[in-house]
Amino acid sequence: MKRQNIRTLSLIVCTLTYLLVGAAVFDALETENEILQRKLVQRVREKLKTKYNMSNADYEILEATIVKSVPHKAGYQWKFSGAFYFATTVITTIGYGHSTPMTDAGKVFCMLYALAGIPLGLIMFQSIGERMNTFAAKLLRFIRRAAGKQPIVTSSDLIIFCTGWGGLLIFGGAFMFSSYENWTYFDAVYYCFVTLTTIGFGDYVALQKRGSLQTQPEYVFFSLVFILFGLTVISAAMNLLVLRFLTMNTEDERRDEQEAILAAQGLVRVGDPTADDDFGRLPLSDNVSLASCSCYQLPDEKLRHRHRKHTEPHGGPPTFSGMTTRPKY
Amino acid sequence: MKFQKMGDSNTWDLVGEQQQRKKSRSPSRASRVDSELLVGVENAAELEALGLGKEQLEEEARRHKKQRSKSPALENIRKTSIHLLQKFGAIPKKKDDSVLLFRFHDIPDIPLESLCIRPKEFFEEPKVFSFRDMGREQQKAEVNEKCSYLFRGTSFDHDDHFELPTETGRVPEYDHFCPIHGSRRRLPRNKLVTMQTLMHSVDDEDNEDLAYIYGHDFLAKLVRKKKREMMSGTEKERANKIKRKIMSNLWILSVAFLFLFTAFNGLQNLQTSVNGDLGSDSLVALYLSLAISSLFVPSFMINRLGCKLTFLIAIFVYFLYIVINLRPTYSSMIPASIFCGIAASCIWGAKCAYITEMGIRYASLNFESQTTVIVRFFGYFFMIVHCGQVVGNMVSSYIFTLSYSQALRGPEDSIYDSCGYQFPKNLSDLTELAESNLARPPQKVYVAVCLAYLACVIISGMIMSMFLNALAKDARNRKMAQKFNSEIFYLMLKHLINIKFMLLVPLTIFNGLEQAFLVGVYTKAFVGCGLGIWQIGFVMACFGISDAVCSLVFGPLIKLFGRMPLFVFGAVVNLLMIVTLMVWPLNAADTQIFYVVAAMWGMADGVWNTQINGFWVALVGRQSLQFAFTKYRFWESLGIAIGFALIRHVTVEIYLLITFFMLLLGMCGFLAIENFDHIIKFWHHLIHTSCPEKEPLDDRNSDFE
Amino acid sequence: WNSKRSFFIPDFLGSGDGTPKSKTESVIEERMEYGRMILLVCNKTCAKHRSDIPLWLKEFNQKKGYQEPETITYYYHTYRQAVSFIDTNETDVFPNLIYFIGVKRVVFNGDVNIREDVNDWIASLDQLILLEPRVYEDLNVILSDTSNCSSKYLLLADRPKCPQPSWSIVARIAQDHGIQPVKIGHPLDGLTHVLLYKRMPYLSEASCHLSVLLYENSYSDFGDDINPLVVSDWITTLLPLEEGSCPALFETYWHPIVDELTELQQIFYSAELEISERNKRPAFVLVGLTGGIAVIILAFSIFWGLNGSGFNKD
Repeated sequence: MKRQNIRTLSLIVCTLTYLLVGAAVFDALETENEILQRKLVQRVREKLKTKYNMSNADYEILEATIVKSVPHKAGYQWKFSGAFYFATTVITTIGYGHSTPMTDAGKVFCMLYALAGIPLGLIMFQSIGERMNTFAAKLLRFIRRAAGKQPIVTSSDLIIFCTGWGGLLIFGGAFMFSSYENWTYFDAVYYCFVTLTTIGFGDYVALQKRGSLQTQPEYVFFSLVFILFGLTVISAAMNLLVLRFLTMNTEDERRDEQEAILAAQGLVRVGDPTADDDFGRLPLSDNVSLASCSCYQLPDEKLRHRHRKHTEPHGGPPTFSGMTTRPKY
Repeated sequence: MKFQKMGDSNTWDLVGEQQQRKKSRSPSRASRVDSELLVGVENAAELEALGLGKEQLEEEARRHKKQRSKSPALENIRKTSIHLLQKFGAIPKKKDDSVLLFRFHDIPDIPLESLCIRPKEFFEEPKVFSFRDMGREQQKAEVNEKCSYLFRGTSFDHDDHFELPTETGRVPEYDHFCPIHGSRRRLPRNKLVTMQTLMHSVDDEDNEDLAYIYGHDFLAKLVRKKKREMMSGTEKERANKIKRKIMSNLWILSVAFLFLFTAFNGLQNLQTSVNGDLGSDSLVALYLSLAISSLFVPSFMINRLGCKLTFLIAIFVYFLYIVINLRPTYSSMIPASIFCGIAASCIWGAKCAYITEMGIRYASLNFESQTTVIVRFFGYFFMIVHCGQVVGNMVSSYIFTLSYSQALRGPEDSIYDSCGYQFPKNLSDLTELAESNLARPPQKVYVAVCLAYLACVIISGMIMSMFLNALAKDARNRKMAQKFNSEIFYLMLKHLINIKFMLLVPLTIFNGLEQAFLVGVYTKAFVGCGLGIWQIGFVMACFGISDAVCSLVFGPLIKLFGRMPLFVFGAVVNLLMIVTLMVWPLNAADTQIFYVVAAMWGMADGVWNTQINGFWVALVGRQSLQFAFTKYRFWESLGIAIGFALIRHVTVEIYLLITFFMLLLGMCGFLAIENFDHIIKFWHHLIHTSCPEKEPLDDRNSDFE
Repeated sequence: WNSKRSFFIPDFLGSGDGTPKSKTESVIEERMEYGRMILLVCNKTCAKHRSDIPLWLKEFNQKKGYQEPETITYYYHTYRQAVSFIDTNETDVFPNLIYFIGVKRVVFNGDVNIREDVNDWIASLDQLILLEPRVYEDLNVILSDTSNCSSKYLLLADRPKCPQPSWSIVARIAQDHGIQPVKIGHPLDGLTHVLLYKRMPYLSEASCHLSVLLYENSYSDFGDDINPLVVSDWITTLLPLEEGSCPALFETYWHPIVDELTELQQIFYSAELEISERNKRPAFVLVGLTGGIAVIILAFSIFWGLNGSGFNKD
């Protein structure tokens, strides 16, 4: 089987396993809480009904009203600042779900908006992330030079840098949120993490208390900056960690193709400045040294000419490359 | 249940290890090409003699390339349709995108030793297996220094078309320094890692000449075919007959084992939940006797009685065991279990011997390497035997379901306070519901299940006695005077204080503990208590399937992923399941999770079964496979016995905790072995004194890392 | 700390003018910080009393089984010149006993030689009538009872997590001020806990100590610091001096007690409390953490395998 296929298959299997395992652990941890909550709601409902002599229908209306009132309790969601907040959650794919478009027009626009906005956001964050990595590398090199060490920055340095930066952001941001929103610090860290990984559960949503969307512009500003900047940092880290795996298969395919071409041509010329670059081009530039070889390099000018003459027509019969028997012509 | 694991289910490692030894610096190539398949292709004369001239080879290659891995019927349809379409010009004629290397008539060849000096450290002559060389010293290539890998078949030097001094066949060898394929030159030089460089550097370092490998593999196949064709008529017929016989014997053996372990596994899974303390005590006795007897009984029995007779006697013991299970009491069950353990050790030893012997015969008839055939045979065997877990459990569950049908009710959607990790030590603390779930099935039904199993064992015995051929070797062996053979026992004692072996012991014991948990605790405290005894079979069947699939798949996968990641994978999956079971408040309405936990446990178990066994082989060394398997079986059985003994004395929670820490300890030990040399070096460095007796140890172990 | 201490020291110690204190003065000051004491004052050497009275005190303490800050400690002072802590108007006979607690002092003025008299006097001083509500109803009644301005309560807690050894001293001080001390047994059951924090919403659940003054349907939280001196100071400042009057209370210090909980509230809040406590069980947190680390290792092993030898030849 092809290596790419095996890799993809094993990735699928591993991910499925990961999901199953995760589901089991979540189940074990959360079951009890859910059952208790369910019991509580049941009990309160019965009490309410008997106390106020409420019919089932009325109770359902009550429930529906309460659900409807949740976003309104938080203040106006669709004034400008709220709408801006919403647009941010759309294009960053966070999607808290605290406020959603209700009109059909809004839904249509939202879809189209996301269609263009998500790639835009993704590309912007990625490219800022890449710039940040470059900048960080420069900075690190500068620091190393200043410290009198060799100005070499490895990828692990950068990853550590990025992780540290991201951690700082999450823990610092959590501090701010916990003081603004009255969450416990741990909950705030959880909120920051869920937001920056763009999971966006919506169980904790910033700016949903005491109408802070309207009354606390500095907090709105802080939240938005936190989200945008945080996503950038996360993108930078992704850039370093994940992208290499994303492109694995395509890279493999390309190389296989390249090798097939090389092999089909039978000969590969390297390190020959005069050679024309039509075929057998190598993707990388740093393969210049030829201290040893098992590829074929023809040292002599005359020989090479001769050789080149015969590379053009593919007339010869194929030999099994593994064999070292001498062909008879 | 998991008796079958105790065999060498990881025979894939036999291949893996061998190749690892032979490997140069490119392990993947070694893993792709079973170098033993390369049947002396260094000699074209041999090929010619076999009637494989250039043209034929070419022809075959072309043919083969087109019909790779397709069924003939499908292939015909495809061919004709392509032909038709090409006629009508619907699709363009395909160009030959062959990846084989081409050579040209008049490209001058030059002695490469003048150009290239291959670094010594990366050089290793690939060993090529040849029938002609069998038993002889491998012929050394005459040039052993520079570029000698390029020079083979010197006998062709004379008919030279060119004026150049030596004609050299150019072998596209893998070379790390090769600018095209090699990786060494391409290690990222740029200090700044950007997205681009990372993306490029991902897989650049690997390369393989597919054509080269394909060529070898394919050629070996062709040679085998030709050799077979070249046998004279009668000889051929005879060989074919023997081969058929061997294959049928293999299937007979597998099916007989399937029936036997259908019965045994099914019964074992019910043991703790149906028979309670007696069940776990009898299992302790069984596995203890298995562990101890595996040290010296099997070889004695096999040599004395021969494989077939050993099988039959063992099956008879199993038969008695099940009969006694009909009405279990302490005085009858414990001795029965002890004998059953001894029988188990014998039957597994005999099976190993039998399959190995058959494999050797078959290989010589089919012109294949012995290891490959043996591995294949073990693969077939375990593929079938693993189904026993599934079938046996299904049988028990179906019979129970039939009897319970009047009382069947859906599981209650609430937390079962006395099941799962809260399962009380004292059974009187159980809630009513749990008690009714765990109630011993009516004797009639239980007897029905036992009788079904009994029938399985009888069928197994009948198949064995009627259809299985005895080995010729047995008769020979029997003639020789046999004395009590305790070689393995002595070896065991001798190696008792080998540090590396000691480090692997915790993990092996964990393997046993973990199996005992599933058989003894999970079936009772979780499945039985929550869902009812009649569901145990279904859940364990799920475990069986996943275990079987993973045992089969993970063996070969080790070559791709490497040993470490697989071990870590297994460990983490198992650890997460332990943790899950430790906190999960059992809610029977959440039925799927019972199956998921079982399946995941099976997955981890698959890793352990294949990898630990293989690792023992790697540690002990290939020269005494028997010893390696015995060691593994001994420690594993000991683990199982400890597990069953623990069930009686600790709560579920404590048991899980012990398993958890055992796993951690085992993984630490494993990591220590993997980095043994580093640690030893560090140790030497630390104490700064010479420890002469440790050095030979290092040397011996350096060849597997 | 020091400034606070000097701020709260009782008037009769008359500090603040910077004059150096006598040894006895500083001892009294130190003991008042956390406990109570009896001072034996003689104007001439009184060897017999000095050997008897400590013994009686010790026996008294032993009989009551008092532990460290609650024990009545003993000190001796020879009266030669006028000192701040002895009011000559009250104390004319010597040898005499003076009992110090909080900012209060009580003079014996009886016969120091008779053991029964002394014991009776100490016992009357030591008396403490404590309310210990065991169930929800009791506490609820106490909280609702404050609506008439005659009853005053001081809620005190003694939690094993953060013990307040001097609570009994504080309770005695409060009792001296005509406030009924209420000790809340811990751990609280869920419902009582809900009652406490729902009816008095400004009490912080985070703070471990509990010392709340209840009066006139309002409550005032002393916070963490229940130094006897501080508490007696607070009591004198916060409560009106005259008995029976119902003056308006300072809003900065007093919060109104919320109405009684309805049945629904009781059900809901107590269940909520139970659930949230369950959700924070440390064993579960540990499991979550272990599982999380394991999962990360799992992901690493997957990537390692995929990137490993089989796919990348090195």
